Amino acid sequence: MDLSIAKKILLSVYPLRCCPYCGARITESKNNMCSACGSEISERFIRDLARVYVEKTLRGTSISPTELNRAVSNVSLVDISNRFTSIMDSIERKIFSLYREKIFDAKKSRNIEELRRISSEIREIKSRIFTKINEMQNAQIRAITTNTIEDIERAYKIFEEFRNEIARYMDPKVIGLYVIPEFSYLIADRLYKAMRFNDAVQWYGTTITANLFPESRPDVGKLPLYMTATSIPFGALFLESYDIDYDGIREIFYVPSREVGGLEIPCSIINEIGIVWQPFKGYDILVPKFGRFGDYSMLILAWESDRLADAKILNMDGEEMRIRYGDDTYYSIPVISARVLDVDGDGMHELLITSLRGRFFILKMRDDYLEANCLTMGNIVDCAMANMADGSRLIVLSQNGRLLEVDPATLDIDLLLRGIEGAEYSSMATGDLDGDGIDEIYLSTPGGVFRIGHRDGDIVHSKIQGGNTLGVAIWDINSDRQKELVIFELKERGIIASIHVTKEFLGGKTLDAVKSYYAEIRHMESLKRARFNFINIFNSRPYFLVSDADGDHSPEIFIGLEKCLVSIDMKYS
Amino acid sequence: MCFASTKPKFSEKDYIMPPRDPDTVIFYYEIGKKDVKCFRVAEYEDAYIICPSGEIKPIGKPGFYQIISIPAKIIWIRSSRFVLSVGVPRGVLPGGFGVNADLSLYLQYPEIFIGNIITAEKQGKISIDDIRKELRKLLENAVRNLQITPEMERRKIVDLVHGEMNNLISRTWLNGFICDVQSVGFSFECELSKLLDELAR
Repeated sequence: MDLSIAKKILLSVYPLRCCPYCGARITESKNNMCSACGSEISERFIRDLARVYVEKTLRGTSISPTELNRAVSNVSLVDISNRFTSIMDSIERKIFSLYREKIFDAKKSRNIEELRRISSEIREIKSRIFTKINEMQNAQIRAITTNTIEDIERAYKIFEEFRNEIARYMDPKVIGLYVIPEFSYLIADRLYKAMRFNDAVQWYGTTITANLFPESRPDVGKLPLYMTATSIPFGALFLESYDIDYDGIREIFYVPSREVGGLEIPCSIINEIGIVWQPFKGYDILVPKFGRFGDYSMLILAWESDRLADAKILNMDGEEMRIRYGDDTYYSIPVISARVLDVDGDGMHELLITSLRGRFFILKMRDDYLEANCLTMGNIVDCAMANMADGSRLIVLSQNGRLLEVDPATLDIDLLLRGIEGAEYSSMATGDLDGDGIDEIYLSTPGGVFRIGHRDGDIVHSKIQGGNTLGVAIWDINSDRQKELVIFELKERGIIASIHVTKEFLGGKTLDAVKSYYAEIRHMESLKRARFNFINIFNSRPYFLVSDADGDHSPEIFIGLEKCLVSIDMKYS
Repeated sequence: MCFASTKPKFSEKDYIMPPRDPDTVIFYYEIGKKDVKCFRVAEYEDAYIICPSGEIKPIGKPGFYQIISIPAKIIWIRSSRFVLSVGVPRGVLPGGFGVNADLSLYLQYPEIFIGNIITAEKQGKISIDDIRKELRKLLENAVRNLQITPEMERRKIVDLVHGEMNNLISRTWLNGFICDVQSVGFSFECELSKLLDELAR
């Protein structure tokens, strides 16, 4: 049995215990101490109890008790109890938020009876949550072990009931902790085949959430043990990440590509059980963009129709922002893709829009409107800021294989490299891995990864790895305070991630591959990289997003392929 | 008023908030000259602000706020954690039983409580364990003072413990809180014995 499934089961049986010393139901405990009376309860005792509960839970399924006991014995109970404290806190926060006003009013009017009624309602909800979680998980385990239509349907109904009754008291990420990913994938797949695409996206999102949680935190100096991959059979049109609910974990906003008809989800949060993000009605596509835009921390790109490139830019109150370009004022502009970067280095962000006919807009927030500057550089596939020898520069990759740098002060354009093959399939990252204070540019193309850097005032480049590379991530993967380069490559029916460290070699810096991982993308018949299509602009496009989507301090990778989105998670335990 | 509502900020560097650690239930921070002037109150928190005049103002709604005059001290209370259980293990009380109580804490007199806990330090925190420890002592004293036995009518036990704990709490650093006792249970009511039987089988 998979360790993460064992953790999920233990988490659901954990709160059902009570303390033999004071009798309190141990709703949480820290370091195996009863949170109510502080008495220490031996780990062995807790483990035995957990085993009994788990065996009771799985009675009648095909999971063998021996296999289960082996898996349970490998789970750290301290980890489970600490995790449970966070779950409890999250549930209490959510319930309190819903009762906040009632409590405030009762306190103000000193209505003790009302306060008492509210508290007892809160307790009742907490207790109901854990009973229902248990019931929901049991049904899922039964469904995946028996694989009968009746059991699958029953588990589906219980989950839907849970979603309607209980979900509002729980953070969607916490729900994901208790969902068995095999089960949610089973449902998603059936809904997809039944052409219920909107429902399918939600269930695929639930699967991604269930795979991400429980998260596994990196140990100092240790590389991940293995890598997991989950897929959605729709490409990525947009991917964004931001902690919009301020819970310390970034949400992943996903707009599925529109190759299939009947897909009407404007935006979905795929690490929150695929809930639909739709703050304003009347739009086919909504893409939030986060940054420091004057008074606003978010602007929203809104397409009224997913057949027209024209998008409005809304502020957080849903009001349309005016765009001033020279003497003209627009209320919408054609948008193919958009990035948020601080181009001029003033601490405020600009919105960078790839538009039609090779136009590239840099939109800067001024009081209550956006001021536009336009550059014509060809169709832009990707862009990033980089600290170059002459200062900070905007680096852009064009569809026709040119790599350009733009001086933010003058908007002068210089050519860095030309003849990049397969640019419309490629992605770009920047970062200083060799520690010389100047960023290198990493281009991931169908022919490999190219590193572009400076040497003696000249721009130099070399291929550092061949293969069908999708993107690179620069991060400290083993928490040793040194950044590593992780290259992701498409290989047959899966993804390879190879970790490279910087090493001294003959007085220079070189990259050395230290470990690689392979994760097969199950359920997908063929995997192809996506192409940036400037004609059918709502089709799949290459995407490579690096973001910590589960709060484990190690980023997850989201890769947009042709009619497929892949979520990659490095597991450390 | 030494503060005003403001728009949400982009980055956590742009505002002050209490630690996310669920164990920290009370946190205070003095915003001075060199600090960012914005702070956030979450939906699950209550917050109070001590203005430069010394006046204590409650912050009614969650959201982002801007400090207008400094120095100002902000006190965040993670009220969502205050529906809790405390217990006294068996062996501590005469009669050989352990006791537990489900209770809720409400800050009814913030001026008193804030006056008790705030120090001259720039920042400070109180953990849920500190609060539980204090409540445990109160429960133990209440049960002793009232000579509670399991044979007494349960409703009466709850009312007596509720009254006594609120009487005792006013003599502690938790003064200002109302402690609403909702139920009282005993160690022998734990269903663990049945499970232990099952384990033996």
